[in-house]
Amino acid sequence: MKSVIGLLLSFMLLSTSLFAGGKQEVKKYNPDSPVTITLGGYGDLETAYKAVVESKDFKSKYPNMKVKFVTNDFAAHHDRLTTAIAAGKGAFEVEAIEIGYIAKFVANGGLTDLSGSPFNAKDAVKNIVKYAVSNATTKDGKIIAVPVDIAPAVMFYRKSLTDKAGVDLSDVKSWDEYIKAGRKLTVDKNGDGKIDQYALTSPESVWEIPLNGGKGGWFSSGGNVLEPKERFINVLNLVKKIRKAGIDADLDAWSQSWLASFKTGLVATHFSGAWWGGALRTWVAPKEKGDWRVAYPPGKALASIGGTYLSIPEQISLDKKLPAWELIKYLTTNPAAQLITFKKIDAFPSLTTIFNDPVMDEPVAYFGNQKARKLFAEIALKIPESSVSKYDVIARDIWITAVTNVIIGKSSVEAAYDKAKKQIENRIQ
Amino acid sequence: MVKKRSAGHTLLWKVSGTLKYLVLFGVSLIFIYPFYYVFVLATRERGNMFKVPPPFWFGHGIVDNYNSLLKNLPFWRNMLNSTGIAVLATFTTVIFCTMAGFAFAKYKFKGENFLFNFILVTLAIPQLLGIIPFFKMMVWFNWLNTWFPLFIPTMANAFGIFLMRQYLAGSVPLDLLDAARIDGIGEFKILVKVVFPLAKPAIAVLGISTFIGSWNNFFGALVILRDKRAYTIPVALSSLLGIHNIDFGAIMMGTALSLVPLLVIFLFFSKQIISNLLAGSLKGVAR
Repeated sequence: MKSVIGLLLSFMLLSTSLFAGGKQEVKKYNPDSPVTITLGGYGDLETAYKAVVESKDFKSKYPNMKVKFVTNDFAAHHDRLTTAIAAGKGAFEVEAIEIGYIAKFVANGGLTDLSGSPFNAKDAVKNIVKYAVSNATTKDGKIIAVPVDIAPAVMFYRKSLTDKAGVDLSDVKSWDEYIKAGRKLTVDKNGDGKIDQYALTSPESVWEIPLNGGKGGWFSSGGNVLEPKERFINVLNLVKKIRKAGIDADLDAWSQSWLASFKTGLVATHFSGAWWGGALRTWVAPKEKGDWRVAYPPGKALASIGGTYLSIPEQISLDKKLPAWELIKYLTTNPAAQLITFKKIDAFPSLTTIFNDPVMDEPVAYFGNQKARKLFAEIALKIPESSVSKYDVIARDIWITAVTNVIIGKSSVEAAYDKAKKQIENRIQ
Repeated sequence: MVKKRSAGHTLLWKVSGTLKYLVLFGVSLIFIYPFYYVFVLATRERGNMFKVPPPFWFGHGIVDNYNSLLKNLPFWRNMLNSTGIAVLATFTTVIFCTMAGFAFAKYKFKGENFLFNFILVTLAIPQLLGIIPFFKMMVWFNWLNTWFPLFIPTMANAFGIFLMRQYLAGSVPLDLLDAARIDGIGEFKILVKVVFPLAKPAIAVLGISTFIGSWNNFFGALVILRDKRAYTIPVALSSLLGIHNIDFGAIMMGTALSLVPLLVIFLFFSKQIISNLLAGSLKGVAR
């Protein structure tokens, strides 16, 4: 009797392992199987992606895939995702991540490595802007998210104000040249003794440009913090010079007066990612259509400020990961999907194959018929690659304090640098 | 004998009185202005909102902002969620905290002090520290996207128990409870018929703080509620904050409308607090 039971158990174990083994081999998305994928996002991504998944092309390719959206504001979305990842439960199948948070997830894990089988993201991202891919790639080559939109940094300026001041900002060779032009742009227009036009809102809006948007680069190849020193000292000197020149309006970012300054003419220039053009056009300064222009930042500095990535949390089961990956692939590598996103919310495409699309050559009425998109694409292709490290968030936070202390005159450049370096070293030990 | 005031004194008294009211009026303006400003912005067109100096008078965008709000959110459903959760949280917190506070204030039992001190210690633990275990438990209970996690775990909370215990210890005389017992009233009935009426001022304080706390609970609702129809007002309104395109008109309209229930509740409960406190002071409640 015992041997019969033993035989039965062995048979059951064998069949279970065979069944399980067989199941593991099925690592392909089955388009005939109905599935619902939820995409957790922020801001207005839902507006764009909804239009994509409602398109005829998507429906024909994925007739049985239903996509739901859960949207929160920028910070809240990342807080929710962090909680769900820390808890190991409750994340959605696809989660959007802003570039500023990528380093945090590189550090803490919790996202699926898409570079390996069955996703093979390395093939999928071959036509995606290189620097953006590198920002979501760990040092050991794991791709934890795929860029869906990017934000090459440009200098926005108001043509009417620069013309009046007699300066040309279309090709500024250096930061010194920018400051010189900034002095001409900073004027008391009505002669009441008060300055009512400045070059820019605050030196704080500048520091990211020479540091590649603060994405990576906080450590030298040898692992030393804030090295090479000269690179960081130059940035602190730059913000100090700008404040000393008196060309900034000293406005807090996103305050009422900061927002108003872009339409009242209080500021003549601004440094930001390409997405800022959409904000200017739709709600920040819609009536100033035709007056704003875009140009390379001074000295053709290359940086990115913003950008969205799509990821799959590790906690998601494989049968959901496969359709989730299909959705990510469609949103990031399908030219039509990328163009829909661009047209809907001004999120600049990450897919390089559409940089030659006629839409990139179209003059943009808001920028005085300038071919602004061409410039965004040109800059995007030149931004250097850099992989993020798990300590980037710490380094960035401490660095911002150093920048602020130099601007307000609380620290000298050297002292601020030394203090920041020590603080970062202490934190990562 | 009452001394007659001289003309100079009367003038001084009048001037100081006027000054006092002017100062009070100025201070009250500081508190009222943000509310007023929300209502002003709710009526202004989006492109006409951010100006220096800020706009002080109402605009013509009220209908557009309202329509935009309803286009982007199931707003009244979100209001229902917020109201339902806040009412349930207030009702259950008042019941359970009063029961626990009454037990700690008027009953002697083994481990009473240890238990009370243990509850007090939990006040010192930042809520955010418990968010991950809380979230895991809610997933385990299968309570995600339901109202339960937003009022059940806080029904008997440390602050409420402490508040009710302190109030009941000083305001409900033991003789009164004994008299009720002699009359043959059971312990639960004593709680309902004697303790609750006497605890009205503390209940009003607990009620108002719980309602406002629940209404403004952002993080708890954010991690628990998973779709637009289930959102409470703070989470729903924050979801309108885009990056490329922010509809401040809709956000301000939603904020203004969501202030109304809070103001009503505050006016109702604050009246209760003041009237009951005054009643207590005049009657000289026995200890």
